[in-house]
Amino acid sequence: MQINVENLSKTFSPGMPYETRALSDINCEIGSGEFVAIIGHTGSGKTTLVQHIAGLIQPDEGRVVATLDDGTQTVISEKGKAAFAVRRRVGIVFQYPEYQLFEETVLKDVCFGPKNQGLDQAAQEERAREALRLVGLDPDVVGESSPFELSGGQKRRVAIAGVLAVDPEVLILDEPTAGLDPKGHDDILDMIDRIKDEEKLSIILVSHNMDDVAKYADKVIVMNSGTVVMEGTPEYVYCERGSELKEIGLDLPAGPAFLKTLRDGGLDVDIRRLTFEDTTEEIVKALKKKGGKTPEEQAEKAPQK
Amino acid sequence: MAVRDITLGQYFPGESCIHRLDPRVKIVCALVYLVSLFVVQSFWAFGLCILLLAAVIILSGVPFKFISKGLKPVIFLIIITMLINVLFVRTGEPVLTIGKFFITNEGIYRALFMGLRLVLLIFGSSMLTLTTKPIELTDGMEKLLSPLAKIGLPAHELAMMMTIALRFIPTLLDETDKIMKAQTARGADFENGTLREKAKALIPLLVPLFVSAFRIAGDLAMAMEARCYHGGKGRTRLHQMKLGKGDAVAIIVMLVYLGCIIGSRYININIF
Ligand SMILES: Nc1ncnc2c1ncn2[C@@H]1O[C@H](COP(=O)(O)OP(=O)(O)OP(=O)(O)O)[C@@H](O)[C@H]1O
Ligand SMILES: [Mg+2]
Repeated sequence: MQINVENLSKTFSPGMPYETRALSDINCEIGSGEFVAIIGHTGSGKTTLVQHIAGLIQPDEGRVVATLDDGTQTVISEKGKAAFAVRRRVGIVFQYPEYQLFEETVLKDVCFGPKNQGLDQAAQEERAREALRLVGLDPDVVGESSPFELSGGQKRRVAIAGVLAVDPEVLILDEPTAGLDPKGHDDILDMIDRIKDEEKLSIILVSHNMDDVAKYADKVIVMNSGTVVMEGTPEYVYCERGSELKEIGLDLPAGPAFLKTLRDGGLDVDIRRLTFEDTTEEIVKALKKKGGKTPEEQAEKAPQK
Repeated sequence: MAVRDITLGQYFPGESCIHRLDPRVKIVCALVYLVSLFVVQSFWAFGLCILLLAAVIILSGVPFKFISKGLKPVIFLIIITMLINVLFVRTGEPVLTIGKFFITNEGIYRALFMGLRLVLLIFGSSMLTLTTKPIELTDGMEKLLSPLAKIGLPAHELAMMMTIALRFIPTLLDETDKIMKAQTARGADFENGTLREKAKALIPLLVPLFVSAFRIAGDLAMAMEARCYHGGKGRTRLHQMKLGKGDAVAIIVMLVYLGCIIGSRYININIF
């Protein structure tokens, strides 16, 4: 399923002194099976945008259209309409999703979505078990425990499973790693990346972590005060337009940021490297060009004690 | 979903002379105004009430559209009150007769009277909350109640409870909005269905909401203790309240107004 956002605008509390124009004239595209990251400053409208894409709020102008794989088009949200039918094709995991758990047992909570879709008991449970397995939890172990007695990271997995159980084609995650420790953080992202491939989902990830974006995303949408200022591959956004990114107060991923410091310090490096490996390679290359030696070469030359 | 659009008890930021009045003065004036509405017995005296309210609204710079939104939740109540008066007041001249059933001029008169009184009550009290920050409001209340502390009324604790309650209304509304959206995304339906189904649909909303509320309350208690909060004894304030010129003017205006209203009970100007 492909999603097109067309001229989307949204103002909260119009006519009030604290009126906020959260989105103005947004255009972007989320291709089928793509991993799209949305980055931007606090308050730049990321959450508002993804809620429109999930069909949960209505815009003032413009619309969000879904093109299904068979070519038919459906409107997800436009003025006066937030479509119920398309909603379940788009799953959304909010910030701190564990605060939405409510059932007595994990399994029941994950069943909530399928139940609302009108599936029978057996089918519900089937879906729930499958979803729990996808997020790396064993339904036989945690299925009957209360969601409130799990650890923070487990709760979050359960909450994500609750959304996956609806069997969406597009999965939106609004800062899914907020408040997790580094291990939990990496686990959740690897899990999302794996689910994307296994279930052939499109992923929309709202994130403040540039390293994650550089590592996982196929495409980056950069937002600033309610508008899309850049849209393109991580290479394009971070390498070609890195300085603009800095201007709107966003950071570069560790790799390019480090290379930039080296270059400013006088080392002749190309800062257009994203991953850890490429960055290392670039530094080694530059040092060699300068006449530096690898540790092995140094060991060879150095007098032995 | 319009959870955020509830105006009753909401502050409308501004810098007007009404906003700048001492909260104590504003609270007392508002109370006097509300009581005066029950003293009034004639339509022409209501004219005075409307005049004063209109003056305050204009001075405050709060758009009327915003104030009238406060009526929305109670409009039903007002209409019912008016209907009861029209239908059940049996004294006076019948003005409309349908078979055995009749409506009297007095019924209509009383309905209008009650309706007007209720609308003015709502507008009057919303003007207080619209122009006073919740914190100022509770500070003012605490100050006003503090003489009663001597006879054992926990003025500070009451005020603190109100402050916290007011402070967390928007937080809880946001939380409600968020949980509602999250459950809607999982296919929950809060709008359609029979009453029974609707009530059942609230469970996925209420359980997380209560969990959140307790979590927030726990965090808050801890944060307050960490900053050595231990009740009102010996606390000093960052903002000392001082009466100014504007407050004197407000008090005088209010006294004149009160005089007129009480006087109105003895002066009969018959327009009906
Ligand atoms: N329901 C609402 N009512 C009024 N204003 C809102 C509402 N939701 C968001 N806003 C405002 O819209 C703007 C964009 O908010 P949004 O939550 O989309 O930002 P964000 O990019 O997700 O920020 P963050 O990184 O902090 O999550 C903000 O100024 C916010 O105050
Ligand atoms: Mg957000």
